[in-house]
Amino acid sequence: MSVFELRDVKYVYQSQYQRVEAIRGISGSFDAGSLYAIMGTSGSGKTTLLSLMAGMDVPTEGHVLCEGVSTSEMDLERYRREKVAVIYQDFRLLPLLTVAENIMYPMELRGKKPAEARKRAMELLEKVGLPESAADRFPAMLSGGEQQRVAIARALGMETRVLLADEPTGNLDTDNSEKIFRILSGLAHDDGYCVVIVTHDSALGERADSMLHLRDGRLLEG
Amino acid sequence: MIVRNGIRSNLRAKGRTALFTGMILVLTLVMVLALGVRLYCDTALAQFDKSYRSIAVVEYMGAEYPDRDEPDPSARAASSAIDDGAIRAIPGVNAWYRDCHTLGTVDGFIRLGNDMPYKNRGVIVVTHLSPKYSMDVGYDPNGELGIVPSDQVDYYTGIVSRSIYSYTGKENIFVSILPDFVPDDVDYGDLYVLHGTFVDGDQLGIHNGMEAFLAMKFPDSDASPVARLEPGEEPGELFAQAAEHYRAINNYVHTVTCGNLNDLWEFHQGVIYLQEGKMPERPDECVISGDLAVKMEIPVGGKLDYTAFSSAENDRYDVELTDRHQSLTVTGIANENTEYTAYIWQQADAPLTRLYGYRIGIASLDNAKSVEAVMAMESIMPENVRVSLLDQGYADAVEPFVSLQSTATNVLLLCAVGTVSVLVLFALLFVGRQNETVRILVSLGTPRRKIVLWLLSGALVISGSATLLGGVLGLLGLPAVFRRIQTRVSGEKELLRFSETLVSTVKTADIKVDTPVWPLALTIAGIILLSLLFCLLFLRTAYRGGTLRRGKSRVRVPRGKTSVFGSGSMRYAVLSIRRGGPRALLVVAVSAVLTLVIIILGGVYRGWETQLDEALHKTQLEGQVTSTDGRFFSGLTVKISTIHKLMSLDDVGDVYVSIRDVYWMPEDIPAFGEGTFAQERRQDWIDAQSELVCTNNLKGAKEFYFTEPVIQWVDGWDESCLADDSYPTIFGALLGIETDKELAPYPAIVGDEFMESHHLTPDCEFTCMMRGNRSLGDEIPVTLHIVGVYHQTGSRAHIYLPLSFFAMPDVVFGEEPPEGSSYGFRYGRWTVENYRAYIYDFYMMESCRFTLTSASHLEESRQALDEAGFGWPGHLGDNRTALVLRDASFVKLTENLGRYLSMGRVMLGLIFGVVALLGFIVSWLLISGRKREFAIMRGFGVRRMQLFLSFFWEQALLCILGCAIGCLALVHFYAGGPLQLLVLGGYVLCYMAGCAISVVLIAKMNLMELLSTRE
Repeated sequence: MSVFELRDVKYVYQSQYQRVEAIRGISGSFDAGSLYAIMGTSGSGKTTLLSLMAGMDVPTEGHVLCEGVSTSEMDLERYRREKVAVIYQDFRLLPLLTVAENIMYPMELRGKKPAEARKRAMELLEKVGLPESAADRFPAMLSGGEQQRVAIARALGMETRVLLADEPTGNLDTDNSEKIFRILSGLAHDDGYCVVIVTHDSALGERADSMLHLRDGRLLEG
Repeated sequence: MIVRNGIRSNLRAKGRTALFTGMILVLTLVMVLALGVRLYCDTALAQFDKSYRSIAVVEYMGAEYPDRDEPDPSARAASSAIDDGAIRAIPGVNAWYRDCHTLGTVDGFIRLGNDMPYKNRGVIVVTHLSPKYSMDVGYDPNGELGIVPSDQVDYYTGIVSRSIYSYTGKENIFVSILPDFVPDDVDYGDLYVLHGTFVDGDQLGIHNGMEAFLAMKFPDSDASPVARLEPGEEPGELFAQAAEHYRAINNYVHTVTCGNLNDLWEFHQGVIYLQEGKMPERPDECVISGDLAVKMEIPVGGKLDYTAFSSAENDRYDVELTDRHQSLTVTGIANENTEYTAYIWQQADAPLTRLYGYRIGIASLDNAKSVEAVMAMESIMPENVRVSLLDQGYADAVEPFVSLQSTATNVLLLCAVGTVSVLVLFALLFVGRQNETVRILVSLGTPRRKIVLWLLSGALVISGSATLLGGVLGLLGLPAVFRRIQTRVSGEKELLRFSETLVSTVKTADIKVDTPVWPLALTIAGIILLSLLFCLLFLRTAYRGGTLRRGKSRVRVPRGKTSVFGSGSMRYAVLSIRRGGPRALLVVAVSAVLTLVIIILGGVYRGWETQLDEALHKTQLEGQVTSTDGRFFSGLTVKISTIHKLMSLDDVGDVYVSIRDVYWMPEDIPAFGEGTFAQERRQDWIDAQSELVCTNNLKGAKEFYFTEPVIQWVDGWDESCLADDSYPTIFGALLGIETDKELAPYPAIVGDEFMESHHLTPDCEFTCMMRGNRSLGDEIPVTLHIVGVYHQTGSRAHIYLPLSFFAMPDVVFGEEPPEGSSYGFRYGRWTVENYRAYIYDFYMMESCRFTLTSASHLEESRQALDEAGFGWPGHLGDNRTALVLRDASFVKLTENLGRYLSMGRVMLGLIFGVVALLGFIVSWLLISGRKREFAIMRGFGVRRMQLFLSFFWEQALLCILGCAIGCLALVHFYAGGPLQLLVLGGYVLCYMAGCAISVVLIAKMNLMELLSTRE
């Protein structure tokens, strides 16, 4: 059974001055244990699609189904808290929290005690290849690659089955990009996550299990 | 292009632009209005200062105050103790003039009336002397005691052929000549010149209706006062000098010299004013009284020859001619005033003269500093010296303007602080935080000059237009504000009935205020320039954030270690606080500073409230019955029924009265003769003696109105003896009416000098004499018991006795009139009831003083006194009794405090508004600057309430922490009361409201849009 399913998803940005059809009817499904890459040029709608999958909003038309339930029928906050984890190009780590606290934060949101969350955070740090000493450092003290690994660890701490990544290597050098890709790939193939990456890096997209091309809000065939 | 884009980019940030435009506009508007009002008040106050004069009258409050001729040695000692230099050195004292009131003579002036020193003296030429007659009477050769018994007296009769000087100037009249110095062998046709005094021939019995002349020696010569003249021969030089001396002295004029006549009490208070001419400008110029001008027929510009007198130490009118002659030019003629007949006022530096009366001097004061100057003067004055401020109503006239000026100044300062704060925030947001714009413009290769132009043009158009608009609105609104001020000021000021402040004259001045516009234009320009300055200062910040700088990170790294304490929204709030750095400190600092401001101002306000409360509840106000002009408070005739009326008022507490008559010690009275003339002189002597003062409290005696007496009591005695009603009245006892009370020596409080000079001791008894009545005889002895001794300061030795010595206290202070008949008593029915009724109907109290039960409802007390028919200075009430409340300092204090409190309320309201606005803006800006953090958290699916609480707790804790620090820093200033807490609570609420509204607004934003926000 697919973890994620898109059924004729449409999304329109409506402002006072203009109406932009960002997504114009996309359908597809995403399974656990696979790494997907959504590719497209700037303005093709890939980030909007990821945001809809992340539960930041509901589609204007159509449905985003997670484990068979449409996000339109769900409490989006709870959905974001329990069903999906998102990694961003600019990491979006909370600057005033230490690395460990950033990782602990979503766990605590789900009711885990701080001490337990910290223990789990240390495990996750190890998993993403960061030393224990990084736990008490603040995001601003880390390099871009390290910050992205923290973001991945934080996403893993959410214990969801879906991991969405928006240009996860966009701000990284080649070496760090490779390391991050490997982690994400491992999470899909070894840990059974459904990993969806939005990228414009064709080299990265080609290494995914499945690659979707978007143009003008539509999915290109083939 | 650059300017256009810079302006457009800022104008398109609508919310922020609208907020700051509004704030700058409102602040400019208020500043212009406040400055306009301040300038208006400044101009008005300057005009008031020119129109009014303030003086301080320095007087010694001696026993015979306000007798203007009393030679009181204590007053002179106090006067000598005053340091002229010290007074002149007091800030606010413009000049200090010693009292200089002397006597002199003006050639050609004939004084009318009886008040002349040598009325009976004369130098006459007589002829047709009769043979010597003899009769069995006597006379006092010194002419002081009248006729004394003698075996035989000789006299002549003659005709006054020439009066070289006599008061009447009569010639060709019969006169009896007493024989001293007259040779026995006078010839009928001879002429004799005599120096001497006229005595009443009638009482000699020598010729009915004929005046007698007693030859007297010259004061400073042993030459005979009688000399024979040959026909056509002029009298000798001594006779001519004596005649001239008497003529001059009997026609004396008063001369008052003061450095500036406008500061002299009489002119300052408008008792004397110029009817024509002008004030003198040179020492040889003067103003003369109207009667002098009429009698002398001197016009303005005319001249008079003046010769000064010197007075004897103990009598102003015992004078001698001096060689100080002046030819004075009359520059002005004053109105006619019976109190000021034959006066010359000279504007010159006063020569040092002997003090008579009690006015030591006058200080000319700076109007605005007069109160402080008077307080400073009081602090260096000897005991019993009173300094009275007379400002012609300046304080009342300027009070609304001072109040407005003060409020406008504070509003101006507050707005200035607010404007600076807002302009700093404005520059920070519109220039300092434009890093992204700078980054893009730099990346596009825009020259720095153009980037600066971009940023400044955008910011300055907003601040400039807002300032100009606010300024123009302010300028347009000012005339309406000025009209409102004029309406308010010209509104009828509430008359302070019975107030001491009504005693001095009150002027009204027409003030026409023309406010300059240039300071207002300067203010508007100043605000625009300040805005430019701050924008220029924040340019560096915009560049610093907008361009890369090698080797330096622009990311602030917080400090701390991973925490596992707490849970939920509070945990995140606490972490944010701990690691917030300058952001958190800013909230704490702003809150602490605002708390300090609130506490200090609130404390000051509360202090004023407490002072006012204490003044209202702890002040014991006193009042007194006075003359109708409020100037004199003794020598009155206060009916007992008036005292009953006064006591019937709930607002009146204690009432103190006094009634007095003269006494003398038997051994002190000279041996006067028995004739009418001698008896008149005897009565004159008795009238001049010290008095038995009967009072129920020493406060009731005029001598102690301004000073507390220090009494040394005999053991077992105290002041309560004065109110003791167990003593019979002296007349009641002697007439056998009050038989239920034993006639024992009355307790008496005597002066120390009197006791010493009469060889008396405390606790001893002595007998003095007092005037009696038809039934008891003209003079009666009274036995007194010395129970207390006071330090005698004046020339009089009054003795203080219980009120019951003269009148029963229950009659004076009773609730109902006695039931007996005063007429019955007068017609021989001497019963106690009739006697009580007689006292009630016919006894008059010489002074009456009272206290008010409370100062807190003074206006109600005034109303009650008014309704009871009492009058006040300038207003005669139904019962023809004027009262004055000694309320000047109380009124001043409460008026000042009331003004401060009104101003405080305005200021606290404004401060609350500014503080609340600042709290709101600071919290709103701080939260809205954290949209990204907000978005990340929402991206994790944080519940809205939890998110709200995270920010809310953080801001609440920081704000409360700041307030707590502020409170702790000024714990001593916190004066209690809910005011400061309310204002503080209001600030916290506004701060939290700003925070809450900001969070709610951000929460309403689309999450996808929010996530793309770049801060």
